[in-house]
Amino acid sequence: MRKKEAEEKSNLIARKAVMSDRKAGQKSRRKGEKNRTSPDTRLSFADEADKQKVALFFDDLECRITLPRREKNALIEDFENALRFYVASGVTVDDALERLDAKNLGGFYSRPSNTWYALDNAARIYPFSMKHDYMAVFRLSAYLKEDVVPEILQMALTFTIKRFPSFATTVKKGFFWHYLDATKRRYIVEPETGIPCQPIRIGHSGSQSFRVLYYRNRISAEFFHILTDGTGGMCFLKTLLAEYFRLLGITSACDNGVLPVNGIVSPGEIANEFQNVHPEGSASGFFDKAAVQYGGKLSRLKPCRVIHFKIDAASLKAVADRKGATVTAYILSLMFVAGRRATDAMDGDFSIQVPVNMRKFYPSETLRNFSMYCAIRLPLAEICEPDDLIPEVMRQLREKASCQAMNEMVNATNRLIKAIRFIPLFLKAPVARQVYGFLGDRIFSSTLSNLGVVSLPPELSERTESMDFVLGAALTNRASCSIVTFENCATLSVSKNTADPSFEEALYELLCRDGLAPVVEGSELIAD
Amino acid sequence: MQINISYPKPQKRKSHRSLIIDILKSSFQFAAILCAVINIWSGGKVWSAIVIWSLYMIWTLLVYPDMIEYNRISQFTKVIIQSCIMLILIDVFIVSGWAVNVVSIVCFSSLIAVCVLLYTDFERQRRNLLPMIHLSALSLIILVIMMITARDRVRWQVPVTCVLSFAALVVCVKTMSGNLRNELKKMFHTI
Repeated sequence: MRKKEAEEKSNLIARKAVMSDRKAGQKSRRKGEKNRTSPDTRLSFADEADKQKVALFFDDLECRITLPRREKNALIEDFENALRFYVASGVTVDDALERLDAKNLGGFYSRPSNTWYALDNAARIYPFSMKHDYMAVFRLSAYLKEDVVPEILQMALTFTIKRFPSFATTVKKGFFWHYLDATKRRYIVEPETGIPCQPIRIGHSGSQSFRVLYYRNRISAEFFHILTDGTGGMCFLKTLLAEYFRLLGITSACDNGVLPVNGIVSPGEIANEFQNVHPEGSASGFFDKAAVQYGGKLSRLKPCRVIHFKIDAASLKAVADRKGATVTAYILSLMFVAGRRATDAMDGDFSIQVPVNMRKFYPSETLRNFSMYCAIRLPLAEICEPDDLIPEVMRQLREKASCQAMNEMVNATNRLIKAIRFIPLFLKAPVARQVYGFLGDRIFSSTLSNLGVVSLPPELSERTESMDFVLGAALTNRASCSIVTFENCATLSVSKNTADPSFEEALYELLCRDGLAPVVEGSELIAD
Repeated sequence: MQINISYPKPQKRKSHRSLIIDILKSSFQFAAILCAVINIWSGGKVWSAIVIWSLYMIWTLLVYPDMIEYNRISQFTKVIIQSCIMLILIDVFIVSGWAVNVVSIVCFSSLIAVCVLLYTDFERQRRNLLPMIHLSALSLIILVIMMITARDRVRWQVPVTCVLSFAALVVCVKTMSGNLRNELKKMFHTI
């Protein structure tokens, strides 16, 4: 306990020292950005040998970076900030330089970028569905047991990004389709300043299509869905966490979905696996009649609130087992009833979209999108008690999330893409936008995405408190739900598109009624 | 239900943009329909086509700009292409006989400007060549057609623009040098 307190105290002192040094650095930067001062003039070492080692380290570093001058200076400054943090927290210079070894950059910042990636089949709709205030963004967060050190997180991202080449890209327009163009730049971490899952500005040359944010003890990664799905995103977050902890001196094995940052990228990790799904069988999928929406005025800012229900995972599993349901089916049944209480409509159907991970049918290491969805649909009139709905929800889940049903949907997607592939983008885009605007998410009332149980290597696990998974807001759905379980904490997150609290209040009441009494956290409500 | 706030206090600033866009969208649609109706009712030249195209230009360039590839080359070429269409519309619907030469002057000066935009920020802009290829190819095709179909009206500007368009295409090819096949593949992929 005392050791931990001492460590925390030393970290705090280190943070203060880094902050004052950083201010001095900013001043000198303002004086002359072009003539970057040599790092050893701003980092003070009593030992002459240390000074020399640092000077050699930065000389080597400069040779490994061929970015434009401003980016290069900023990247070198990241190393300086990290080194300053280490020095202030009592890490020896040798140890610090070993952790920050420039070999971890690989050739990422020294080789020109000339690769590109065609969008996977699921990603093709996302550029068309974008609006200035809406974008398909999702977010994965890890809550650590200590506050995040931004300098180290920045370095962790700098070292991690090369392992995820399809993430180190910018969305571009081709003549027929959008594509991802590899971009060599300094990928940045940012302090969190607002509501999760806000649109990412991807228009400028070299823009990144994901963000890494930190707030107190939380590290979050938000992805434009064009890059990856929940599985790929989680792999990125885990690898980033492992690298972050390595830089803090805690090494872990590369298992439980953590990739070795200096490992070679396998072609399977960037593959468009939809093309490998068996093409036989019929095609069916996207169209359905409009579903009833939950009540409440749609907010302009989407989402206007995010709420997390933190539930004891063992109790949740026990309750679901007792009712003869899976956790997904149990939560779905609660959502139907909560939704019923959140609308004034008397007839029509409720339909909840459930993403299905295709990797369970086609084992794959791809980090790109490889999921489809099914819709669980129930007439409003039949919705009364959650327990009564479970058999029907289970039946629909079995049928609609089956391999055959998913194959049919993949076939429909593949055929559509094949049919329109020679139509130029400037003709395809307005039509696709109109069709998406007309259909949008109106065929669903809500979404439930269950990422399942996430595990980390033991060294990271014991330093991580919990995780959460937030879906960005939909266009017309008033609430979207997602759930992820880490250790014994299942976090059910609700992204709200309306100020009306009926849905989450009903959900809370239903959970409490089953003895699950969640701890509720969230963001402030932004009412229009 | 007690909600513990675990996020920083959000800023409100972004919520107004969609409201402004919604209001402008309705106003633009109303103005476009009104112009068309008045034009049909009053008869005469088709001036409403020019007004509607102007509204479209304002909409796509200012109110609702591109969300992907919003860079100086793409926006500049977009302005030029849309302006040329506007000039052609004025020529067709209001006063005829001058557009071929004026459009070619606009095209050749803008081709020079695009090359300047490319080479003054080469590291970044070399990845934004597709709009430049569009502009050069489009100028070349349209002007060659004009040279064939309206030979009597063609002056020195048109062949000069053709040469410049061809030169701009050569500049693009040169910029992609060593990687031409890959660059063309990514720009024109259909998979």
